[in-house]
Amino acid sequence: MSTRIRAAIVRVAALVMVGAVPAHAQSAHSASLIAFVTNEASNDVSVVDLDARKVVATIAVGGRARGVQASPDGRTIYVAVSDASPTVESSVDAIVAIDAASRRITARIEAGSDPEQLALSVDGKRIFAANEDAGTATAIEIGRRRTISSAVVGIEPEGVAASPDGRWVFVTAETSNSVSMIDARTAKVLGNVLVDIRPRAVAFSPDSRRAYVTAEIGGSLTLIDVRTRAVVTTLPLENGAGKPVGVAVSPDGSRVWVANGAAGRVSVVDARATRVLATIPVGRRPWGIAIAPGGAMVVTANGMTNDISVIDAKTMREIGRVPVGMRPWGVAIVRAR
Amino acid sequence: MPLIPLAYLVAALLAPPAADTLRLTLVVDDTTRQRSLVHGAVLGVEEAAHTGALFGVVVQLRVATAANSSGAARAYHQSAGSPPTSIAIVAGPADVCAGLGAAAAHDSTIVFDAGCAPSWSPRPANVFSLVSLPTASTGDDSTHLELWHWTLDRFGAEQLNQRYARRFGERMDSPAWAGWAAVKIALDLALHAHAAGAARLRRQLDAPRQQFDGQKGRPLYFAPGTRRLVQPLYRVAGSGDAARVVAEVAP
Repeated sequence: MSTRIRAAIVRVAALVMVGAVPAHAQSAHSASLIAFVTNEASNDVSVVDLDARKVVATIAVGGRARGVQASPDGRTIYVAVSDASPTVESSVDAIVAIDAASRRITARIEAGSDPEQLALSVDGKRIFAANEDAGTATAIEIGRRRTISSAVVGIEPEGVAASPDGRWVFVTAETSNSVSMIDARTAKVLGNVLVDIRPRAVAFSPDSRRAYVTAEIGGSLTLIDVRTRAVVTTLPLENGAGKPVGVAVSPDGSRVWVANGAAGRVSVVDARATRVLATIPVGRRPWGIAIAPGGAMVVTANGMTNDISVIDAKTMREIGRVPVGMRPWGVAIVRAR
Repeated sequence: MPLIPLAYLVAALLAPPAADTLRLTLVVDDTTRQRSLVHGAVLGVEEAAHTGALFGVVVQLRVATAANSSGAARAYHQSAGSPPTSIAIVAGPADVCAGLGAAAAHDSTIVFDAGCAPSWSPRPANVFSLVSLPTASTGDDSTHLELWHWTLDRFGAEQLNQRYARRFGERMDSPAWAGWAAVKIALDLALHAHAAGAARLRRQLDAPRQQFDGQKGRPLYFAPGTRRLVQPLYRVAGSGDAARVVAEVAP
C-alpha cells in the first residue's frame, strides 16, 4: 500500500471517528458561503463564514435588526432596522444596504415606520417592506431612495415575499390573519386570502404558482394556489404547538423548510405531497431560515441561544452551530466574492 | 351627562357596496368601569373595519347603555333593524346581562359576555363568555388574575397595547381587552363563515377547530360544555406603575 493511499485511509477513518460532515455537505462548504445574520437585541449583523463556521465580521446597524434579504446578484444585503417603539417613526427606521464584499453600510433608505420584513423585486431595483404599525406595504425604488407606492394591507403586516416571476408581492398580516396579493407592477392589492391565525412569513415556489404561509398561533403551514387565489390546504406542524415563523422553499421546489420557534425544530415538508418528511432539532427559538445558493445547506437564526444552526439539506441533520450576536432574528446567504 | 354616549356608531365606509354587514350591538351599564370596555370595542371595530374591508365585510357597532333588565332589552330592540344584529355584546350587573340575553335569545342572536357579573345565572344557550376569571380566592392576597395587562409584550401584545394607548391615551386593561377581543372574534367568525347572519355565525362558533387569536400567544377557543373562552390569564403583582405580570396561568 502506498504512502499516499495509507494517508487517504487515515483521513477517511478520522472523518468517520469524529462523525464529521458528510461529503456532499463538505462540497457545499467549498462554495464559500457567507451568512448575514440580523441580531435584534445587539442591533447588528453577524457575518458568518459557513465554511469556517465562525463570525468573520460584525456590522453595527444602529437599531433593531430584523428582516434581511440579499439582492439577486448577491452583492448587497438589505436589513430592516427599526427603533424600540413599533408605533413611532424615527430616523432609526430604515432599510440599511450593506455591501456584501466590503461589509460596509452603503445606504440607509427610508422605508416608513417600523419596517420588519422586506423583499426585493427580481430585478433588484425595488424593495417591498411591511410597515407593521401603519398597516401598509411600501414599495421603494432603491436607486432614487424614494417610496413609489404604498398599499393598504391587513393589520400588523409582517411577512413579505416577491414571486420569482416578478408578478406578485404577498404580504401577511398578523392581526387580520390575511395575506394580501399585490400586483408588483401597479402596487395595487388584487386580492386577500384568509389564512390560519397569526401569519408570520410567506415564501413562493420557484415557479411562482404556490405560496407557503406560516401561522404562528395556528401552528401550521398554509398552501395558497396563486392562480386561484385560494387556500389549497393547511398543514398542522408540531401538533399545532410549534409556533412556526420562518419559511423557505428549496431551489427545486420540492421541499419547504419551516422554522418552528417554540419547538426548536425545523419541519421539512414534501411540497408535492404536503406532508412532513422530517423534523430537525436546532437551537432555541429559530425564526429566520434561509437556504444557501445551490440548496445544499439551510441555516436558522436561533433567537434564544444566540446562534445559528447549519443544516445539511440532503441528510436533513444539523451539522453545526455558530454563536452570533444577541437574539438573532433573520438570515440571508450569499456566495463569497 | 352619561359617561358613555347613548349611541355610538362606527361604520366602515371604505367597504364595497355589496358587502356583508356584521352588525354588533354593545350594551353596558353606565358606569366608569365600562369606559375602557367601550374603548376596547371601539378600537376593535376600527380594526375590524380595516380587516373587513379587505374581504368585503362592513362592520358596524352600536353602543347603548342600560340601567336594568328592561332597559337592556329595550336597547337591544332599538338596535334591531336591517340587517339585524349579528352578535350582541354585554357587560354589567346580572340584571342588565339577563335582560339583554333573554331579548337576544328570542332572535337566536349570539351574545358575548364581555364582563357580566358572575351571579348572572342561568345563562341561555346563546351566551358565550370571554371572561373566565375564577371567582374563588387563590389564597394569595398579594396578586390577582387579569385577562390582560398593559405590560404584556409578546405575540403582538406590545403592538396592541401601543395601538390602544395611542388611540385613547390610557393603558389597555382587562375590560378594554374584552371589548376589543369580542369584536375581533365576531369578525373572525364572519370571515370564516363567509356570512354575517346570526345563524351562520352560530354554526361557525360550533365548528370544530374554530380558534381565535387574542394576541396572547395561544389559540383561544370556546369550551363546548361551558361556552367560556379558554385562554391564558395573567397573575399580576403590585398596582399602578409598579404593576407587573408575575406569571401566565395556562388555560
